[in-house]
Amino acid sequence: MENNNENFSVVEIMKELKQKALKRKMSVDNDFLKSLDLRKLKPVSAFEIEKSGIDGQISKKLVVKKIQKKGLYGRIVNYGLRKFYFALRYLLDGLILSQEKFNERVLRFMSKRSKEIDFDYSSFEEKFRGSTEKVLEKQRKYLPFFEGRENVLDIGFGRGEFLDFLSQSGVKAIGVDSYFPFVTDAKRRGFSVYNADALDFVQSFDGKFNGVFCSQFAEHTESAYLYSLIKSVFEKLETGAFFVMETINVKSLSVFSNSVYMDPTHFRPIHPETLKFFFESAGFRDVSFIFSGDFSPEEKLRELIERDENDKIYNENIRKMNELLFAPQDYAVVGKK
Amino acid sequence: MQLLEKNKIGFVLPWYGQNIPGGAEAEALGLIDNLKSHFDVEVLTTCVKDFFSDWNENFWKEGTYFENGVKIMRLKVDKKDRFDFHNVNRLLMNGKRPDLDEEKIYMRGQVSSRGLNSFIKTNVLNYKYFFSMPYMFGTTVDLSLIAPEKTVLIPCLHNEAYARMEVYKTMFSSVFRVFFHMNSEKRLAESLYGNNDSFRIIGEALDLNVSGNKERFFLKYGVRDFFVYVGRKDEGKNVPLLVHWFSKYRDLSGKDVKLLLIGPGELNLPLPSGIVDLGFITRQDKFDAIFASLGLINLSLNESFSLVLMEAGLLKRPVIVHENSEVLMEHVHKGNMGLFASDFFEFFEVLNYIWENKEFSSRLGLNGYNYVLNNFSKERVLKNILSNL
Repeated sequence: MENNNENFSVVEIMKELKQKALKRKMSVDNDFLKSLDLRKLKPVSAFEIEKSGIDGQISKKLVVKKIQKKGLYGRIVNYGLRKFYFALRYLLDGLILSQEKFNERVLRFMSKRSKEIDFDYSSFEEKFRGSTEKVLEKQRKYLPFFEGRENVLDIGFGRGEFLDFLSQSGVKAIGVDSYFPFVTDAKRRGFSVYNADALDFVQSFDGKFNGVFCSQFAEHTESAYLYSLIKSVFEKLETGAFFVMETINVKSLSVFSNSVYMDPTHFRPIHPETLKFFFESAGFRDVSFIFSGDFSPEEKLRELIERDENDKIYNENIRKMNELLFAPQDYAVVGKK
Repeated sequence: MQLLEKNKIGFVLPWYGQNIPGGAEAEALGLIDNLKSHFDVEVLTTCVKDFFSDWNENFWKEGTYFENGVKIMRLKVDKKDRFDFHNVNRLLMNGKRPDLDEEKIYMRGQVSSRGLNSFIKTNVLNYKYFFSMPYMFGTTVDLSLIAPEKTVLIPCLHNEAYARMEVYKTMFSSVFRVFFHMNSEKRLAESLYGNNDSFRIIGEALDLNVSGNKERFFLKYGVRDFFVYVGRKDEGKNVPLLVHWFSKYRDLSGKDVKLLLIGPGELNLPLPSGIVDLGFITRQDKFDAIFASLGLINLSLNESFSLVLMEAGLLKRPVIVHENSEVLMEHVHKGNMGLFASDFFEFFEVLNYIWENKEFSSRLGLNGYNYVLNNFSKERVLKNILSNL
C-alpha cells in the first residue's frame, strides 16, 4: 500500500496540538470541566457495548450445567436441559426487547420534545389561532358525531376548546397532548388529560374509544406518523364510532400566505384527498369532508354589477379566482368504523 | 479449452444479484467485474434472494443464468428448522461466545446447499480458485472444507463475537489465501487466529467517480461553515460522544460553526444548538455536503474499512478521527489526510486548527485524494490480487 509523503506530517502537527490541548485543559475553569460528562467522554467500541449491559448479565447467570450421567438417561436429561435453557433465554430476550422498545419510545418522545422550538406556544396560539369563541363556533358542527357518547378522545387538545364543548354537552372525554403547558392548564380546569405522544398513547391505550377527535394536528406530523396514527385509531375505535380529523385546507391558496407558514411548528399540510385516502386505507367507511372557516365577502375579490357580456365573463373569472384563493380555510375528514 | 478451464474462478456466495442489499454483496459484484478481464469467472450460489429474505425459500429457479457476461449457477438451498439457530444467533449478536455444542447448532442452521457442495466436489478440478465471502456464511465454511487448497477467502472481518468461534479459527488457518482490505483487519485476524502466511492485504476497489458541488448544497440546505459526520447514527459509532464534544467545542470556542449529521438511525438524545440531523439524504447530496464541509469527523472505533473516509478523500476534504480507532488511524497515517484526537481538548485544538488553517486543510484533502487514487482503484486491487495468488 502506498503512503503519502508530503512535506509535512500529521504526527508532527499533532504533537504541537496535543501540547496546546494539555495547556488548555489546565487553564479552563472548573465549571467547564464539570460540564464535560465523564461518562460520555469515554469512547465506546461496539464490542464493549455488546459485551456489557443487562442481557450479558442475565445470560451469564443462565449457564445450565449438564449432568454427567452417560447413556440414554443422561442424553435425555441433557437434551431437556438444553431445550429449557434455550426457552428461558428466548423468554428473557423477549422481555428485554420489550423493555428496550419502551426505552426507545421514551427517548424518541424526549428527543422530539427537545427539537421543538423553545417558546411559549400557548401565547402563540392565543394570538394567531383566533379567539376561543371563534374556534368553538367552528367546532360546533362536529358535535353531532360525539353526542351521547362516552369515552371520546381529543388528540392534541391544545387550549381544550373541544374538551370544554364536549363536557358542556355531557360527553365524557379524555385528551392527549405532547405540549406540557397545555396539559397542566387542562388538568387545572379539571379535565382528564395526558401528556404523551399521540401515537404512543393510542397504541398503548388499554380499551376502546367511542369517538376520536383531532383538530389542527395533522399538519404538525410526518406522513408515516400520521398514517400510523389513523390506523391505530381505527383499531382502538368501537364499531359505529367516528373519527373526525380537522386540518388546514391546502386547496385554499390564501392559507399558504397565512396559517401554513405562520406557525413554526408546522411540518407539512396534507391534501384533503390524501387524508381521505389514508382514512379509507385504514378501514374507515362512509368517509366524508366537512369544510369550515369561510372567508367573509369583504375578504374575497369583488364581482361587478353585470351590465353586459364582458361583465359576465369578468365575474365568472372572479368566482374561479375566489374558489382558488379563498376556499374554506379548514376541512375535516370524518370516518366511521 | 484446457487453458481456459485452468483460468476459471468460481465465486461461491450465499446469494447473488445486481441490486441486492449489503456491503459484501456489492463488493462481490465489483470484484467479479474486475476479475473477469483476467479469468473466466463463474458465480456458484444458492437460489436464495438475499440476506434479508427467507433462507428456506428458493426465490430463483435452480439452473444456469447469465448476467453482464457472467455465468451464474444457482442451486437449491437446504431447508432447515432454525429455532435453535436463532437462539444461538441472538447470543452472538449480543456479543456472547457460544460453546462448541452451540457452535454446531449455529452452523447446522447456516445457509448452505447440498447441491452446491456436491457440484463443487465433482467439478473441483475445473476451477483454478474458488473465491468466497464474507466469512460467516455456511456456503463459505463448506467450501473451505471441500476445497481448502483452492479457497481464497475475503472475510470482511469485524471485531465481533462470531469471529471468535472455533469453526472460523479452523477455516482461517486452512484455506489457500485470506485477502484483507486493510492492515488493521489483518492484524485483527492475527490476534484471533494467529499469524499465517496465507494472510494478504489487497485493499478494496472503490468507485472513484465521486464529485461534489458546494453551491448546490448551500442552495438546497442553506448551511455554511460546518463539519460533517456521515454514517449510522448510534452509540456503537460514538455519535453521542461526537455530539457532546462538538457542543462543548461551540461553547468554549464561541464560534458559530455547525455539525451536520447525515445517515440512517434514530439518535435518541436531544441535539444541542449548532448540530443538525439531516437524516438520510441522496448520495449526491451527501457528496455535496462533504465537499462543502470544513472536514469530515468520524470518532467510531469500530470500522473495518470506512468507505466514507475514502469519499472524503476523493472530495479532497480533511478528516478528523479518534486516535483509538486502529483502522481510521491507519488511513490517516498512510494518507497524511487528516488529524486525530483522543480527548475533548485535543478535539478542540484539532477543530480550531482546521478552522484557522484553510490552506493546510486543502493540503490534507489533496493528500487524501492521492491516497485513495493510489491505493483503492480497481487496477490497483486487481494488481494486488494477481500478485498474491
